[in-house]
Amino acid sequence: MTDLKLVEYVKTSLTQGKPKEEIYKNLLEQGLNIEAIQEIFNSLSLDQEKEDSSKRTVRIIVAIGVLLIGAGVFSFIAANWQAMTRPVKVGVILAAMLSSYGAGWHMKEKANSPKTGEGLIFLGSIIYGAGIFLVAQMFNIRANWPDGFILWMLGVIVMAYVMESYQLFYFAIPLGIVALVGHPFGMFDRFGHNSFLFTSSILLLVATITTFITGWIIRKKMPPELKELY
Amino acid sequence: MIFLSILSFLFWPIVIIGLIIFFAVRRGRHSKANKEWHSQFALSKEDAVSQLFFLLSFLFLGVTLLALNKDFGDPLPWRTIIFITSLLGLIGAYYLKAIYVLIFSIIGVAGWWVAQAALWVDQKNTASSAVFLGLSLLALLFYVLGHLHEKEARFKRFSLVYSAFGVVAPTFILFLFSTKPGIALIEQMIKGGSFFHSWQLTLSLFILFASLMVSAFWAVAQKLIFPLELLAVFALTLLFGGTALLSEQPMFLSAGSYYSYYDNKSFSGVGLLLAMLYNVAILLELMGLIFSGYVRRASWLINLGAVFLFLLIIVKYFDWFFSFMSKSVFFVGAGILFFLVGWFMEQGRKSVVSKIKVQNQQIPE
Repeated sequence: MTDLKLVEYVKTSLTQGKPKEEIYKNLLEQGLNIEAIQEIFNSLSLDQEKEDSSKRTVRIIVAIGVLLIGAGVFSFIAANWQAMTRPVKVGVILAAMLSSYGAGWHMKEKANSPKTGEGLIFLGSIIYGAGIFLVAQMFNIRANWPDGFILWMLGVIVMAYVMESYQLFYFAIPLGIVALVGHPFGMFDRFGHNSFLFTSSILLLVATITTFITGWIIRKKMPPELKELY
Repeated sequence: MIFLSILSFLFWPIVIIGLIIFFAVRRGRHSKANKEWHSQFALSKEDAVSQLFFLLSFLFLGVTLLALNKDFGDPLPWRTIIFITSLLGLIGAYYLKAIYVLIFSIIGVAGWWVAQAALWVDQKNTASSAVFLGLSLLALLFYVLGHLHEKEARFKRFSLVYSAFGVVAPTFILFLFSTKPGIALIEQMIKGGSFFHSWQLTLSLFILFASLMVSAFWAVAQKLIFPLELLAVFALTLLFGGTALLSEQPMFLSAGSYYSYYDNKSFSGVGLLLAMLYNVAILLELMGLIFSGYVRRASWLINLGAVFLFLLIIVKYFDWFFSFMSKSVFFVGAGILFFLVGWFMEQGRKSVVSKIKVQNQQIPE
């Protein structure tokens, strides 16, 4: 049987934002074994399942909202792009990104609406990526196009660390894959002039190191019962 | 060489897609207490994300090396860079216990072999069957390595990756060569001089063969594979080796398009012998796969064997009866065959898998 006091302790610790690893450590120090702790977590997961369906609904609604706002903002900017001066263009991009990130952070951390907050932060990450390509186009920056995706991925990884969001970590992966697929095309393009830039090699090296460190840090957060397999 | 190019282009995508589908349908049971936990693609959210980032990192490493190589005026051929990256990937996969990196490193090593061996074949104008033989030996080696990794719990997922490659690749080869286009491919492959004229090909094939033999005997000594499995590995080595060593000769009596699947070409003596051998071999291999899954209580092997058996029956039906029967009778027959095969497979697979589950429940933790 699972001790109700222990269940309550685990529940409180989780709501306080303590990592699973720390809770395991504390309970192991109190003399419990892994199986007993796992049982406590299992009993909590039953309650969790009931909450999950309503959370999923919220997530879907927020995702649709994010997409609609994103589409609206982008169509507005596209329609008025030619009429704007460069400083206004940069200002619009920065304002859109920062307000989205700011509102997201506020909703997640202060207004107790984590799903809506994460949705807004995700929107901010999309605006950040669009901003990279718009700025490159505005200032005619000479670079290989997959570099933009690497910069986008790096920014998303940083934001994912800061907000501890797995949604953003997942988002960074396809961005990296696009860069990985795109770069060899530039390198082996026999028909064009030799346009491959040294900056791309540096960025690729940075991406190699960053993705490795990210993988390493996330691995450290592995549930304790799985650590024996690594 | 055109057949070889098609083969090398289609082979690994099919293997990867097959593996991804195979693992994807097995997702959902996330607990180490589950006896088949090692057949899951990810054990937790952290496991999935960290492995994907490690994979990205090693792929970025490969592209970085290619980019730096280009920056410094291509001092190394791209094949060498693929080899270096795959080797580093293998080391990284073992150190980090990262199966996604392992999958791509294995593909990298196989891809390097195909590219490098094709270059050696071109240089000496030898038969391209050496490339096929190398890939076959590599696949059989993976099968044995899969069983060698079964001993330790933390390498159980590695074992599954190696075994899956080791099962899928030889099955694909047997499948291909049991058809007319496959026999035509053999005819194309054995054209040219003996591959013993190239010391690089000879040495690498010898190393692969020696590694396969040593690891196979080691696995038997450790009681990790059954003697019957060892026999199957030897038989397949002999079959693939014998095919690759054939001298240049026609496999069909009448000339016709090699690309046509259903030409009424009749086999030459050797062609007929090979067709019979490969048809018997694929059937025995698939039966052995299902039997091995039953003995090992591995439902993934049974499922895989059942899927392959289903595909074999369908392919054979097309191969043997498409030009032989009236089209309406052919399609009605195909429909009935699908129903019957589906029903028999559902019943058979269900009963074997449920027996395994009952046995697994009876075994104490």
